[in-house]
Amino acid sequence: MSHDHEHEHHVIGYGSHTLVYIGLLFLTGLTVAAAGVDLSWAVNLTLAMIIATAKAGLVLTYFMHLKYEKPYLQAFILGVILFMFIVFCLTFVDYASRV
Amino acid sequence: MSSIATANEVNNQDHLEEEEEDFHFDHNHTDYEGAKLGVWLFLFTELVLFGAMFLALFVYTTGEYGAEFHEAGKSLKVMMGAGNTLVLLTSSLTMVYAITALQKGSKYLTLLWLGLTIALALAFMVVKYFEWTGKFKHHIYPAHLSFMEAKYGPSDLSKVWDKEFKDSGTTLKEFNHVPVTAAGVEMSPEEVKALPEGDYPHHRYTKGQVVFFGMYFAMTGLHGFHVIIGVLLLLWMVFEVAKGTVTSENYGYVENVGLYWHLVDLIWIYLFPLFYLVA
Repeated sequence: MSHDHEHEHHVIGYGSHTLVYIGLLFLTGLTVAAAGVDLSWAVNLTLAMIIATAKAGLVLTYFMHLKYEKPYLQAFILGVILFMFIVFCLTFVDYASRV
Repeated sequence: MSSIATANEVNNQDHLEEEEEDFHFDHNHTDYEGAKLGVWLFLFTELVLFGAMFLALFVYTTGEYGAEFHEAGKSLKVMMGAGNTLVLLTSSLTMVYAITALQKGSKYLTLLWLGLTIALALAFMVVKYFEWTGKFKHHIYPAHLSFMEAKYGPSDLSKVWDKEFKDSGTTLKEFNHVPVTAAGVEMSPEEVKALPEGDYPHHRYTKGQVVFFGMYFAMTGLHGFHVIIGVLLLLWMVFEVAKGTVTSENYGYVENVGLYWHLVDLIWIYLFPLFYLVA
């Protein structure tokens, strides 16, 4: 079956998985260390969210193999994430502009 | 005559079962891509479910309860949260190892990695158990007096007791685990007894702190529930792989359970800094 072979290209080896894992461990250490530094509270929150998003990106791209999916599925997933982001932003625009 | 009919029926049934088996587990009859798309659609609904809670948490953290969240968050143990982060990340690794092993056709390695994933998931729940019971020991748990206080307002404690606890067999002593004065100073049992009849002591937690722990229990609880569902799905995969119905020919099953498992990890990636670190 031709589409069987197609899937076989997507086998990711143990080595690359381990590399991603090491990256995730590093970012976890970084986020704990960054929380220990007492910057302003808003900076700490932003930093923690940036690191968490980097970790989520690694998990999505490699562990959930988004990198190897067809473009339509990638667009679908990124679209949903973008949609969530817009909802979050709009809520904050509303919340911040209340008297 | 009737025995022939029965034999035929049995034969038919056998046939049906065979076809069903084909339908479920024969790669040629399985829509690999459709199944994956379906799982993703389900994951989107999960994202929205947790997203709504994260949105509420963000609004509270950056808004009126910021300082109180900060205070309440200090009571969570960073080491436990970080340890659990490590456990979940490692379980995500063993999960993808299991898929790789299955794709390479190694049944026993697949079972080993799946088993390790389950063991790590259970370890996560054990840590969660100690965290939650630790909180309970400090009289922080859902539906405690302080939560009722937020519901009815601090001046109406007698009403709270009448409405929520009077018929439940809870004694007034159990009801007020950590009584404090209006100024927040802890009261001894003697002082509580000395209160005039109908007067009830205040509670040590402020409204913002109550909201914090309410969100903490709701979000880590819902997440923990997903971990348990994940364990059941993983057990199902162990069963199918051991039986030989899921192999390198139709590894999509394990891959899709993996997608769910990684989502559980993804949610924890955000829960950990928001509850344990930022606060």
